[in-house]
Amino acid sequence: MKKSLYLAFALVLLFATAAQGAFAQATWKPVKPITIIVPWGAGGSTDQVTRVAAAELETALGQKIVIVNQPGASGSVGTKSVLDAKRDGYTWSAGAAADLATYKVQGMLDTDIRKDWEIFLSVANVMVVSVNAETPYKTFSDLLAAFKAKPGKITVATAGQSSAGHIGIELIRKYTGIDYKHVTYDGGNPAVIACVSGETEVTTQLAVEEADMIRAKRIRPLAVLSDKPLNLQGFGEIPPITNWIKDFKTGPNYFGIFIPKGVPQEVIDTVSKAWKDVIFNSAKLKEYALSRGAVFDPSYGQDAQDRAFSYYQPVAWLYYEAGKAKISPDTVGIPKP
Amino acid sequence: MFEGLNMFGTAILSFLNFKILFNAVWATELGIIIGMLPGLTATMGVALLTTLTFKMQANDAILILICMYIGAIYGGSRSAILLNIPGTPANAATTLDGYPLALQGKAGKAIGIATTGSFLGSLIGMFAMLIFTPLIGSIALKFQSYEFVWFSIFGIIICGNLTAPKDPLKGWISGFIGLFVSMIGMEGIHAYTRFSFGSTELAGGISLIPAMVGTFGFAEIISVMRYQKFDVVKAKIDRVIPKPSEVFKYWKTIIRSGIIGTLIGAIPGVGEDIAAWVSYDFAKRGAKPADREMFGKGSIEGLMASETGNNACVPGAIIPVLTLAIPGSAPAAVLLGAMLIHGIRPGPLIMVEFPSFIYETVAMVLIATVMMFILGLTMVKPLVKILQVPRQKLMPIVFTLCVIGSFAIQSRLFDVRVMVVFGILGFILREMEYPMAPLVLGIILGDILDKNLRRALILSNGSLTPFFTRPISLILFSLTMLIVLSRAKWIKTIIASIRKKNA
Amino acid sequence: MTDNKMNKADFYTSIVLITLSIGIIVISLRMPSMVSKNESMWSNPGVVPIFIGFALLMLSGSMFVRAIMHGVLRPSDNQHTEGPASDITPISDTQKKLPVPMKRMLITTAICIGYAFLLGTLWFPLVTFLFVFVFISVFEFDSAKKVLQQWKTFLWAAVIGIGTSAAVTIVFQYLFLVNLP
Repeated sequence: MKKSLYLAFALVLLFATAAQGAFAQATWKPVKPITIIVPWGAGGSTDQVTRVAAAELETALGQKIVIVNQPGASGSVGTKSVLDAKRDGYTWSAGAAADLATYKVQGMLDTDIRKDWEIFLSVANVMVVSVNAETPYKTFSDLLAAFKAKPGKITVATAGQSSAGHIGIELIRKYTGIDYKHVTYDGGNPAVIACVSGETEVTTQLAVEEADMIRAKRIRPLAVLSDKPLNLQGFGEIPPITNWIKDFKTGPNYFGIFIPKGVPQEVIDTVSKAWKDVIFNSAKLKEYALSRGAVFDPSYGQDAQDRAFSYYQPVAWLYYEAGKAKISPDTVGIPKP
Repeated sequence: MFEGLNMFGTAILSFLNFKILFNAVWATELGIIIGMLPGLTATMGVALLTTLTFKMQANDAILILICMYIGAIYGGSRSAILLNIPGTPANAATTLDGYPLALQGKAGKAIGIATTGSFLGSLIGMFAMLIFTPLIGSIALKFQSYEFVWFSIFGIIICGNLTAPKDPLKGWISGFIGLFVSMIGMEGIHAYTRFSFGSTELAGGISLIPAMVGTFGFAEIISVMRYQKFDVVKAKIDRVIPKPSEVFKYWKTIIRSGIIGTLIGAIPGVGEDIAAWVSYDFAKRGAKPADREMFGKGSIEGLMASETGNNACVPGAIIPVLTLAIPGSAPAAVLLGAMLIHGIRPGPLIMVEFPSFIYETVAMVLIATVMMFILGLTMVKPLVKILQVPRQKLMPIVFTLCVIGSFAIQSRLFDVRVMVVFGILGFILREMEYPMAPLVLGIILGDILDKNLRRALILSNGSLTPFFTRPISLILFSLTMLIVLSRAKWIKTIIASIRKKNA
Repeated sequence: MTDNKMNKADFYTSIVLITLSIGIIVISLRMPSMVSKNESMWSNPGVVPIFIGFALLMLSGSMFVRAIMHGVLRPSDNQHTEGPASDITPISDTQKKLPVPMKRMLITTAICIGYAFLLGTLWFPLVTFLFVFVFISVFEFDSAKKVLQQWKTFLWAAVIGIGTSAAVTIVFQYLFLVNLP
């Protein structure tokens, strides 16, 4: 009798812990539409990839996801309004992880990617150095020679301060000591168009943004800023920059969806699970990445933080060394590489 | 060419089924409604539907987006005519003649003319798309930083000149105040915060939509509520569908506005708003002296010109999307994004990769245009009844819509406050006969001017020569100077009075 | 407005605008240079505002000159001292205090501002209902009649208020997926 009582007790306890475990893993059922604030313009590369990912998540979460574009000041305006929103799990952000990590270093926004954000990464983008098809530069070494012959004269189109393209050309400057004329545009696509129309000679934007014009032979890709060549569907192989600059180091620039910390734990758990189940196997995202010259490489949690770190660490120090940062990355927990 | 027409025909036939037509009907009607509501713009409508149509087949989704785009640009004319509040920035020029017509009891006719104008404008744009897509596409690349600088100044001058016919100086001042307003907040190159005086809200900038909804919407509410008895317009609806002879009388204006609208649409960055102003200006210049008097007082020709111009802009803006993957206007930018999401890659390779898609898009434009025409001419009678609702009952509802319209796009309460402040400021300025349209246009063009002027100076190392030596720049500069000098009565008066003193 | 009055108004606004443009130019000149960050001096944030400031200065300056030419400074021979709003009063009343249109204008502005500032503190449909109800009631209230006799007016105002607030909330929140304040 006593034994069976103990047994019953133990069983209850077991159930209770199991139930508790289940409770901790409780799925979050959003009761109203979720808002993702894309801190860049509608139709741009961040906007596109976010809309694809959001539509995939809608099915998994069983709720509508509304995309609000709130561009301004390299994405810091929109990101700030996500931070200011109620932490109920219904307001998310999206964009490049590196931006989120360097706002503080640049003095644009007081936020820390590791302390303030849960990040969910979907695709990675690489920069490609391309020149207008009419220019005489056939290889990357031609271009380097021209940069050295005419310091500060050759025009480079980027999407603006701290954009991927700007980081690209600044990295090249750091390794080679060249000087260039920086011309900024409203986004990656306008920068590429400027290179197509001949307003500038060079662009160093993302492969995603250059892909179509490369395929149409309006711009000529000279090198991809990576240690591996890039295979672009419908074009062929673009050689890596390490063919010319041996010690060139950069990681892939990851894009994804960000949820501010402080939201209920079940939100994070549910989105993590959805990310693993749906995004990891998303045919739509895979297809999108392949056709746009991006790399489909999803991750979340600590893994995502580590991947993002490998890219933004050198970038933060690049800003600092180029005199474009307000504070040392050391002080915000980004040690010198 | 012949092959193209064949593909176009096939595309139209393939769209004639119940499901697709049903989609076209609801998307166009939703577009008209979004366009009518002040603050909800075509850009927002297209972005909203991009998300909602994500799961659909690419062709269905793009058709819905094009219907929304065309519907919204047209729908804005209704609130412009009935309430003197343009539904989208594209319809600001429509208020000039549309509202006076409504006050004369001809609201039904005005809506009929606006609908016909929009319909014909879209058709002209569509034909241009069909025939000239490769040609017009490459014009877009000719417009570089120097040209955009002139374009933004030209826009302000032309709009100021038109909206303040008595005293263009005030129109231009209003335009430059608009340009200044757009300077407030974080600028787009170095993220330096200008004119915010330490306010984090101002650092985010003054957005266009709240400012527009305030200066047109709230200011209008104050000015309407001022008088105890508002003359209820005896809108005996004569006839909505205009007589063919009434329309064909203006064939020159229609074709001219259609071509201007299409061309301006094809230029990246400048959209429907400028298209409406420029075609209105050309219509006024081209009109017979007797007709010219009527502009601004309820001219059918003026109304026709602005509505034809802004709707012709829509297919025009899609042309560079297809051939160069450069959007010609803000809604077209979202449309481009949607195409990319659906796996269609517009751009220079489209003729090779998806040749039939160009013709399918043209067919979609045609379906959307026809839908807009049919829906535009139905349900007009109940709509015109709005004019008979007592103002004290209607205005609080309009104000509620103004508030949501300002809030909707960025979800910032600050925007609602901006709307209120601009409403009061706008009201005071209007009392002193400063037109508000150049101010709104200035806010649109300020960003273009800011980035392009600096970019042009970087490229030229500070030299001003390219602004005057490049062919398109020279044309735009000459046009601008022509307008200023032809209207500079104040110069004449000054000279005359100096002479008088000396004599 | 009469031409004379408009000229006077132009004179004062031109002074305000000249001050504004000088302010714009001064603040813009003080904006930092980006040359130290390895960027062209032409990309400095102040470049375009200086241009706009100068253009505005020229335009308002010529308005200033024009106003003087039209005789603002000349002592006016017809010395009528009208209230600032009387010229916009086609249906002017005999009331001595505040002209009716001015009063109605101020009431409209006050109610609307009240609504705009209450948003975000209270539940949206409630504020909207209150706003529409108050707006209609205030403007349809007839001070000649007793309050209780006008119950129909208030009822209608309430019905329209509820209708607007419900329709707007449903349409925008669920159909257009717009966040409401």
